[in-house]
Amino acid sequence: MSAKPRVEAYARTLSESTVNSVRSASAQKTRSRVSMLHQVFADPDAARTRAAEIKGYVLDNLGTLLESFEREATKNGVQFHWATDAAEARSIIAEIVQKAAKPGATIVKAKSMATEEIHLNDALIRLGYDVVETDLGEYVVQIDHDTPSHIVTPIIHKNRKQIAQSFEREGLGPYTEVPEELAMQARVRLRNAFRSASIGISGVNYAIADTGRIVLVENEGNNRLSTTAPRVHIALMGIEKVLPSESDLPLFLRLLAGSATGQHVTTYSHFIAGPRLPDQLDGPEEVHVVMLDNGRSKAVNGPYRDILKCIRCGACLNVCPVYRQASGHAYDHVYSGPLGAVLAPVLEGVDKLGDLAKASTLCGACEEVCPVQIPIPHMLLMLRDEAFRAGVIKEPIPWSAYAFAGTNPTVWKAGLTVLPMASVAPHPMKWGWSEFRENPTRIGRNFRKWWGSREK
Amino acid sequence: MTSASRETIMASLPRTDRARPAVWEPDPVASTLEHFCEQFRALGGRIVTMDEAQALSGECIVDEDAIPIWGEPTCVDVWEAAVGVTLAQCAVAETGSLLLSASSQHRRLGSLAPPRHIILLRETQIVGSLEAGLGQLRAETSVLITGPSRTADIEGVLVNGVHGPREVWVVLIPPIEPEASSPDVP
Amino acid sequence: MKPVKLMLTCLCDAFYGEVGIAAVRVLEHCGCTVDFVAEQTCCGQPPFNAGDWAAARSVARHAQTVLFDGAIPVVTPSGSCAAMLREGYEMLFPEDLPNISFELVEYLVKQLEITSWPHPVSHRKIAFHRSCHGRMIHLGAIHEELVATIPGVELVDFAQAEQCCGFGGAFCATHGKVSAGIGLEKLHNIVDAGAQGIVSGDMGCLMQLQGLVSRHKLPLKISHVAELLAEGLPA
Repeated sequence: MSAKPRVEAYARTLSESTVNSVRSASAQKTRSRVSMLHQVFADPDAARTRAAEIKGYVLDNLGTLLESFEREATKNGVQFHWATDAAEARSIIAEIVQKAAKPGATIVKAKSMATEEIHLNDALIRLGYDVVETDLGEYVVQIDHDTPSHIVTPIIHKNRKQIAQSFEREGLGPYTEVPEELAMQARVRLRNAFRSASIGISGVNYAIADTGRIVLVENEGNNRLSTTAPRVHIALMGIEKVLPSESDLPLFLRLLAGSATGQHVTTYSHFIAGPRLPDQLDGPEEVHVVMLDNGRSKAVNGPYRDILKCIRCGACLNVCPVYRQASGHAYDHVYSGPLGAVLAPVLEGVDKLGDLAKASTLCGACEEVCPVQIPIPHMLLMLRDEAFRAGVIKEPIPWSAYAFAGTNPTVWKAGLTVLPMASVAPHPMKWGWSEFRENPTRIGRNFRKWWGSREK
Repeated sequence: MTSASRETIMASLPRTDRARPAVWEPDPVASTLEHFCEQFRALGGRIVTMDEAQALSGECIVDEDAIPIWGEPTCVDVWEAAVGVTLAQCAVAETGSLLLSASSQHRRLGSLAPPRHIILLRETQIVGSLEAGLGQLRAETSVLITGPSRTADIEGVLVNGVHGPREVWVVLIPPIEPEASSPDVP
Repeated sequence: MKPVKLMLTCLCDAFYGEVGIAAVRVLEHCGCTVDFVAEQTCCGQPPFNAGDWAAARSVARHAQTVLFDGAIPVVTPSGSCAAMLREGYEMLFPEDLPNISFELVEYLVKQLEITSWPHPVSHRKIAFHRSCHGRMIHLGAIHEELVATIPGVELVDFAQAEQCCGFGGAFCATHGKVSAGIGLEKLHNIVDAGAQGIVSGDMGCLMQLQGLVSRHKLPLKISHVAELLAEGLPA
């Protein structure tokens, strides 16, 4: 074998300090998730089951629920746009932006994985706009020309020293490694952006079918500022983000916060009805919702439909042993970890990213923590099958030969006499094994010989 | 092109007529002042008396419906105010949260832009569960606030006040007298 | 007498015969008559996990033909092979009826209702590693609970016990650095907890951990749960 799989290849380039940052933060979040969910729910598993059922119902009725959401939100003055793919979403948003403000104008962005998915920032910057990420982590990502390595905590791969250096370089203030002081430097810098911005762009956590409201959750306040202060608010949402009713929200608010950050609920849950009403004192004059398909309508009718239940909590990343060693960038996609190993190939095509399904030990921890019980290991196996048949994944050993031995006991037994002398024989485990570990050797008696001697 | 895209997307989306799963029934939770205070304080919130709150120096911006209780604002620019004063619609004991709605009386930024947010709360407005709290959502844009603005983006270290208020204070105010024609003044 | 068929597993067939021998002794001690079908090879899990389901189906069909007769349960000293026989075969052959198969300790606890093991071993501090495939077939803590009743065994808690060992079948070869990193973190947590040995129900996990223990010369003895159960049995 020559080229290493992309996650392994990337992991080999990581410094020990990066692995430590990712690993310790992930482990911490995994612990606080468990303790919070048990504090919040008498029976967390019953809550997860119900949430999974509701999300399943949503996917079964996506057409009806989206129509209802659109109808109700339109009554509230929200303007709707529909994008079949990333390119169309970018051009729709570009058109709204160009109508609302001249190039050079400031656009404040709230953290949104959907906008990362369509690579929106670059498109708007090319049109001459001053696009400013306002979530603290995303701001660091932007000034470092980096990409988020986690869907909830984008700079999980960075330590305070690196952030301090970036802030000093950008002239945010005197060099400091104190997190409070760094956060205050960012506050001062970004406040000017909020005050001067003409347009705010956000994602959507939940769209409510029965009231037409969009719900955004966050901790910092940048999301509220981005969607409140500018004259125009544009929200980009994946079409799977709808919930049937506002009465479903409390369950999901608890599950999302508990799973993502170990909080009971996030600091801010923002329920946006629409643009400012004539008698209201502030808020945007225009609210646009851009509905993003980009592979979702195909996925909802296919074998990987359940991945669309995902509420982007990141718990599966935090608990994943592979993610902890490799970090999010290893997956070459905005969606990383176990979620990304399924969603990235489902959205982009198995031919492009199907090999990500191999970046898993299939340990099942992801499914165990998933607030909507997505059977991720099951889907990884199905993806491996599909990717193998498509010739996307290359195997270190020919499995057809293994199958030949495995169906011919004589060949199998002959092979077994060779295998334990693995250091000389072609060994299935040898590639990538002995670089890090001692080879297995036969220990004690051979079972078949022992059994034969017993039968006599 | 947009409406053509809408039709394309909509045409492929599933529809069934099966009944929706039941709405989640929350675990029982006490709607008491004690429980609210405990949860609110655990988030870093402070409960103060009107005198303590008033003794603050600094420019304050005050929502219309809080003026009869708090007094006149000393600032007109929400971005320059040191304190934003609002009147809560209700409080949720389960989570220590406060619900506010945008209206002709309430600006959205008053609870967000100033570094300190003071919320006037009538004890009778405390409900138990999040379900009960969100049951009071009005049609307008609203926000549920649960503690001070926070981030843990830098090495998981908790920092308050990154964009929203660093401090959130609650002042408990007396309930409205049934016959009272004017709101209470402290 | 309770008839069972032993599925040895490819790893015990090739490297760890003692584990198979121990499994037979444990089962016989519990009143089972054990049959070993010499035509058995592998459950098909390696190609299944790799994505070559055509190869996996042919090996799995062979296993079904030689091992399952619809009446006598198949017992295997491996959580991951047991998971393959159940969950994996369901994916490969969705039209088939479920087969009757058990992981060794699962069979002892759930079928034979054995809840304590009074056969003493010399005193030692043991970290029990739950195999992840046990998670898939919902084995819970049955191994630890049984092992804890063995006189002489002192189970130690260690940090992040729920984390995988990093083996993952061919993953350990294709993603060697990541796999070894995962395994080493587990080993360091176990050493820090003061354990002298690691016991698990899966030779896949143990092969990975043994390879790392040997390379890094860590003071840990690796054993399969069948060996620990058999150790105190009369010869």
